[in-house]
Amino acid sequence: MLNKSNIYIQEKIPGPIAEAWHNFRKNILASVALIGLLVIIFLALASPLLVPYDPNFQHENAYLVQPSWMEGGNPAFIFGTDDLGRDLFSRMLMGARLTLGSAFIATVVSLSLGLVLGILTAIGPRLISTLFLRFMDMLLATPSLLIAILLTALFGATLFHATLAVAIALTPHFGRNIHQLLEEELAKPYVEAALLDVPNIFRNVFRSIFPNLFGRLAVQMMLSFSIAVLDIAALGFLGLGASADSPDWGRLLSESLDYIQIAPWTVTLPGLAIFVTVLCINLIGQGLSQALDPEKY
Amino acid sequence: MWVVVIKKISSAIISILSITLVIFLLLKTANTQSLDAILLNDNPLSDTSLITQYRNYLTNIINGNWGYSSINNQPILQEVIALIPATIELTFFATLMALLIGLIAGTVATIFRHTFIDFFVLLISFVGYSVPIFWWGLITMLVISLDWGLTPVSGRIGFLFDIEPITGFMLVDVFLNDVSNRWEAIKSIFNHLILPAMVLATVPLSIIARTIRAALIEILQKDHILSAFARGISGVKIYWIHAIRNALAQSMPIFAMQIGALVMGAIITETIFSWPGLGKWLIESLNRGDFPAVHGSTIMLIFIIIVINSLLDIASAIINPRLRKF
Repeated sequence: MLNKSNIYIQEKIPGPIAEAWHNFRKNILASVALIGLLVIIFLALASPLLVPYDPNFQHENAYLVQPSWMEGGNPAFIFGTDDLGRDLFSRMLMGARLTLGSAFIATVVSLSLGLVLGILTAIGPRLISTLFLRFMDMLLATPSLLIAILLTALFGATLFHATLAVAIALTPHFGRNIHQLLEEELAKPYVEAALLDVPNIFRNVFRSIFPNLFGRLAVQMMLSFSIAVLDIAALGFLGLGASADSPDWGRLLSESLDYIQIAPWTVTLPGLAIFVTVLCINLIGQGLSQALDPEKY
Repeated sequence: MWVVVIKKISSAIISILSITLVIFLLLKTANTQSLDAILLNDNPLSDTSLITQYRNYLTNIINGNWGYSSINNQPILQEVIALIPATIELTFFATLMALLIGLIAGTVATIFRHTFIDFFVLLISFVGYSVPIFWWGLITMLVISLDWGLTPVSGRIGFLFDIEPITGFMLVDVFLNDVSNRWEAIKSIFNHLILPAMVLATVPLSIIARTIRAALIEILQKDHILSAFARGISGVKIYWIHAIRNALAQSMPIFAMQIGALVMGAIITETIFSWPGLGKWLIESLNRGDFPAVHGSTIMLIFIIIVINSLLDIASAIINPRLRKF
């Protein structure tokens, strides 16, 4: 019979991802935020199955019903109703899809564009590199709202244009960051060694450098995602994003502005939803960067 | 030093040129009717080459020929210049507030590092960074203005005061005009200003507090601080002369990045608080379909962002010699 017991006590060194996860779990605030965000994402994804009513259905004799925990609230309408008798909970669930979905799309689009620009400026020819860096600097200063305003004025207000504007505004953040990270990594000796092995810089960027950058890219992605949620909501609030028949959280909030004094919950609850989501994302981002670099904190 | 100044100015000019080029191309793609009003005011050159058209567009922009409002047919540039001081006043006070409070909060958090105070400052800065500014503005208005009745809901000054706009900056005009109850007027102005400025300052404040804290922690670990402590220099002096100044110089680029966010916040804040500035006008013009007005104010805001960014770059090069790369 084979004796599998070890004579030498071997210390098991966890991989970088396992180590980061271990550090992350120790951070209670970030763990709670992660669970919170997962719940919110689940609610958004499953919203068509979960909504109690059709979000656009106007319940008769149920105008401006207070949330169920307040006096005069009706348990049938958890978050109350708006001025047209529509169930706020259903509308917020459906709005979560739009806000989080378009923010996610904007983040992914800007990540891919940023990857292209970052790699191009880090290893590309000098002229192209300078050109694109200048271009990104120019965009970096321009807020997404101005881009969205221009797009809306010229092509009309749709959620697509709002998402596009946010994606354009976020691209230079990714591009700049990836450029800088690549420059730092390219100067390190292991890249030189890898180049001796496979003399193809493009392949090495993907095979040996990028695995080292995943963590920091994830941090940047969380940061950009939180900005994207806030910007999409702000654009919706100003009427530059989602349309009135399928409102996102920002639009939902602006629709009931006239009733803010008699029905504050129609404004407070959607705003609270945005706030909690963004807070969760930011806490996860912070926890992630602490987990990846525990000595710095 | 001068090399840096010239470099920054030239890069600002390049930025402005490329931004106008992008906007021009967007205008061409959209091909709206009101486009002709701005681009081809004097010269109906629709069949010339794209380069000539861009040159005409640029000449019009530089000459201040920004077209006429499609609502009241007023020249856009004049309206923009009349509205911009209100926006600058609001943004200036918000920036001042954010810098002061952010600096203090960041320093206090560093002094009491790893204590409850530090945790509290960090948490508040997280909350401030995550709050949607339009919602925050509405909530503060609901609570402070409507429920408590402490500040007015909208506008820049009470109806009782009649102040002729000379410079457009209310706080300057008060002294230029002959107002009988001057102190009352100033009080009214600050009363109107405090809430929008506070709302606008929230996000930059959180970022400044966090940046300063991180920079201070990094600097305080350096050898020259340790040697200063060893020589028995007082803590206040070390913090003020050796740490905070360096931290400020080091964080300048991050503050400069906030200008764009500040302009975006100003547009939203003005809309909520009915602050009669460029941002509110921009959103109103957009809803009215007044395209030349939208175009004019967008261009103006972008120009302002670029100019202030270059000024800040030059300033940080003056403060921090390490940024003077040639």
